Order: sequence, then C-alpha cells, then structure tokens
Amino acid sequence: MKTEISRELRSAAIARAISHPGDIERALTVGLRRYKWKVFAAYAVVTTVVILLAVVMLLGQLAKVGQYREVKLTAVTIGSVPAVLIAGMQDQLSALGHYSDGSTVPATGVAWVSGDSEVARVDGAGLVTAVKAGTATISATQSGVTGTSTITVTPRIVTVTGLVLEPAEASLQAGDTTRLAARLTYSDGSTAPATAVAWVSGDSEVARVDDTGLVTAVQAGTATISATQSGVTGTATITVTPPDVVVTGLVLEPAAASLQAGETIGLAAWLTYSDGSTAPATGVAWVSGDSKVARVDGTGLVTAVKAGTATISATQPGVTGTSTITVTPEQVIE
Amino acid sequence: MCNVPKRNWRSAFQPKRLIAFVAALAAIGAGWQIPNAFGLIPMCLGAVVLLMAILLPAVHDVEFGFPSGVKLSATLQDRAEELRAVFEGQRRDLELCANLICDEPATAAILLEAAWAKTSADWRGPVTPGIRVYTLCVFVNRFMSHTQWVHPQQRTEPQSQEAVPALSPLATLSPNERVVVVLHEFAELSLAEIATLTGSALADVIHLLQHAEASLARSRASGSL
Repeated sequence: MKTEISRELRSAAIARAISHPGDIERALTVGLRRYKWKVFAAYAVVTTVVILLAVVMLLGQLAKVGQYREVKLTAVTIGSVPAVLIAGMQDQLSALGHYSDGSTVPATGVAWVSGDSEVARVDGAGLVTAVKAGTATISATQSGVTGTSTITVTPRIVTVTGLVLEPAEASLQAGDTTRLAARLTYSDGSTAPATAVAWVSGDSEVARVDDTGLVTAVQAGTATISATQSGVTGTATITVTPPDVVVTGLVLEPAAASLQAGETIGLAAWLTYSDGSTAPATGVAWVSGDSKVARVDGTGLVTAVKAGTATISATQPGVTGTSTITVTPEQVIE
Repeated sequence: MCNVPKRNWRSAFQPKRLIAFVAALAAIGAGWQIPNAFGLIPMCLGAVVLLMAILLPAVHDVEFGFPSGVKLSATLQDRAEELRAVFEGQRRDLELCANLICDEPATAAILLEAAWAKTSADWRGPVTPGIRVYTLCVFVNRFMSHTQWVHPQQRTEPQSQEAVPALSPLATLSPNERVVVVLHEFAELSLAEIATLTGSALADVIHLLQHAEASLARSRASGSL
C-alpha cells in the first residue's frame, strides 16, 4: 500500500478514534465482573463436587455405622446336608449364621439336636450318625435362632460276601463221620446259617458228603468239601487217616494135635489184627486145661503126659487162643 | 481463532500439594475403615484438606493462571490494574485498527470496548503483550458478526459506492479483505498470524490481501481515491 494512502488512512482513523474514544474503564468493569463470576463459578463447582462426594461418603459411613449397631442374627441354616444317609453312616453337618446386614458367617456355639435319635443321632459338633431307616429333623440353635434340616436315613444294604464251613479242616479215620456247618457271611459283618447249600466232595473216594453236610471218611487221603449258596462257595479240607490196627485175636498153631504120651509139640501163638494181618505173639501166658493129660511150658512146648484131651490156652491181654491136644497112650513097640 | 494462554497443568503438581493429596486420601480411607462414628472425623478432615489445600489451589493455578500462594482478592485487584495499564498502552494502536476496519467511529468504539471486556474476562494468567493479538482477534470477530447482522449485504461483496459514503478507501473492500489489509499493514501482524487469528487458510489470506491491493490500486487509478 502506498505510504501516502496509508498515512491518510491512519490520520483519518486517529481522528475518528479521538472523537470517539473507547471507554476502557467500562470495558474493564464489565469484563472483570464476568471474570469474577467465572472464578466464583469454578470454585463453586469444585467445592460443590467435593461436598457432594463427602456427603455421599458420610452417608455411606453413617449407614455402615448403623448397620454395625443393629446387626442381628436373623437365621441359621444347616449346610452340607446329605440327601440320604445310609444307616450306620456318619456325616459332618455345618451351620451358617445369617445377619441383618446381609452377611453370612459360620455359626459358632451351636446346639445340635436330633428330633428322632432312634433314626439319627447328632453330637455337639454336628456329627450326625444314621441309626436306622426313617426321617429325622436335625436342629441347630444359636443365640435363640434355630435352623432345621431333615435327614432321611435309608436301610443299610447288606450283601452276601462269603460262605464259611465249620470246621474248615478236619481229620477223620476212615469210616468216621463228621458234620460240617455252613454259615453265610454278610457285608455288615454278620453271619447266618446257610440253609440251601449244595455240597460237593472234591474226591469221593477219600470222603463223601451228603446233602446235609455229613462227611464220611472213606479211605486215607485228603478231600476238599465245597458248599455253595447264593453264588458264594466255602470249602473245608478233610484229611482221612487209616483206621487204627487192633489185636483181634490170638491163634495157636496147630489148633489141634494128637500126641502119644511122652511126646512133645511146640505150639506157635499168632496174634491176628483188625486189618487181617498176623504176627507172632510174644509174652504169651501158656496154660494147660488139664496138666495131667498135657503140660505146657512158657515157650508153648506141650508135653503129652497121659491119654486124654487137654486144652492149651495162650493168653495175652484181651485175647486168648486155644489148641486142643489129644494124648493117646504110649504105644509099646514089641 | 482467538486463543488465550493454555492451562499450565504442571503448576498443579507441587510436592507439598502431592503430599497433602496423599495424606487427604489416607485420612478418608482410614475413616472409611473405622466402623463407627469416629470414622467421620478423619473423613471430614481429609475432604477439607482435599478441597482447601489441593483442589481450589489447583484451580487457582491451572484454570486462571494466578501466581501460586497469592490470595484471590489481591490477585483480582492486581489483575485489574495490570489490564488497565496494558489496555491504556495499547489504546492508540487498537483504536487505530478499529477505526480502519470499521467506518463508523461509534461502532468501532463499542466493538473495541466489547473486545476489551471479553479479553479481561477470558485472559488466563499474567497479563502479557500477547493480549494485544487476542484483543484484536476478539474485535475482528465482533466486527464480522456486526457486519453480518447489521449490514448483511456486506458479507462478501464489496460495499457499493451508493450504499455507503466513501469515508475510507478501505470501504471499497469486502470486510474480509479489509480486515486482512488492516491487520497486515497497520497492526503489522504476519500473514500466518492473520490466518490463525481469522481461522482462515494462509493461501486464502494471501489471496484476500492480493485482491484487496489490486482493488485499491484500481480505485486509485480510477481517481476515486
């Protein structure tokens, strides 16, 4: 822009400004009034916000104080209650205390009571024991507030776990008999006589068994007797020993003899046993029934004395054997 | 775009203030934990400390740019004196620009007073010479608004010789051109400052200035000036 024009414009503007000056004081009055209002408003907003927050916190604190003052136990509930408890089982119960401030804490100092101790018992610590089938109401009381819960007890389920024969082992002599008893054992530890048992002998040549459990020893050996009922089997071991061998008799040989007076004969004494065997008898007591006819010494030597008949006896404890000696007159050889 | 000095957030974070802030929060937290009426005491103390020692001083420093530690009443009194002194010192310059931009001296005076009032209401922090540009910016905005509402026909079109008496050669320019010419030639603002002040692109400012100078040259050549 040309300097000349610029100068003209400037001088004209200055002239107008001088004729119409701006009022700084009025502008400052208006501006500073607004400014003070802005300052006041800013301070007021911040102060109001802080006061409101403080009031909210104070109200919350007062409410909290009120809650602490008035907190009461409103209810007691029993937790961890099993739906069903089998007779004989135990379970630990717990009680919770509910307070007026909405809090829930484990109840302490609880008095536990069972409504039916024949069905379920409960001790002071809340340990409940199922006794028999039925329903019992368990109560937990704290500070006069009681909570209840119902426990259903179901019967104990008993299963057959085994079969036991008595005696489990037996030793018999051949020919002897014994009766085995069968008892069923149950899961609860109880036992009961088995009544429908199927008896089987593992070796009938050693021992036989009948339907009543009567075992008959047949011959020496070992046999296993089995008894089965309801899917379970019990066994007994039967050991059969040979029968005892006993002296059944005493036999003299010869059982009869004919001698001439003056002749002698030696008798032999044999013991006979129950198993049919024989053995020479020793220590036999010899006796002649008629010493005038025939005499016998301690070795069984018989001496014919005169004609007649004499019975020679040989005795051992319990058995006696005899031999008949016929004495004929001495023949005179001419 | 009339910009006042930005908020100095850093001034809010002072060691003493941070310590007081932590102490206030600790007191409030401690009071909250006490489950009886005694808990109200530390809570109230904490709230008072939070307000008086932290928040209000922070507003004092950040929002209004007041010197830290100075009372509000004294600050306001000092501010009035400072503004008065600065406005008086800039009066001739601003009144010149106002009367160059605005043909009517009474209107120019009123618009300038309005600019001073808004400046004194808006200015943040210490009063510095930079307040001149802000005052000019507010004046220009006021002038443009006044032009739009009082003389709608002058929004973009140059004033016709018949409609407005030719009090100034600048009257042949559009308001935008006139503002750019005055701010550049008489207020001695750079084109970049003018662009920022008017919220226009720099290219537009250059175009307006070139067009204005061409119009003034044509008017001078035609003998109307």
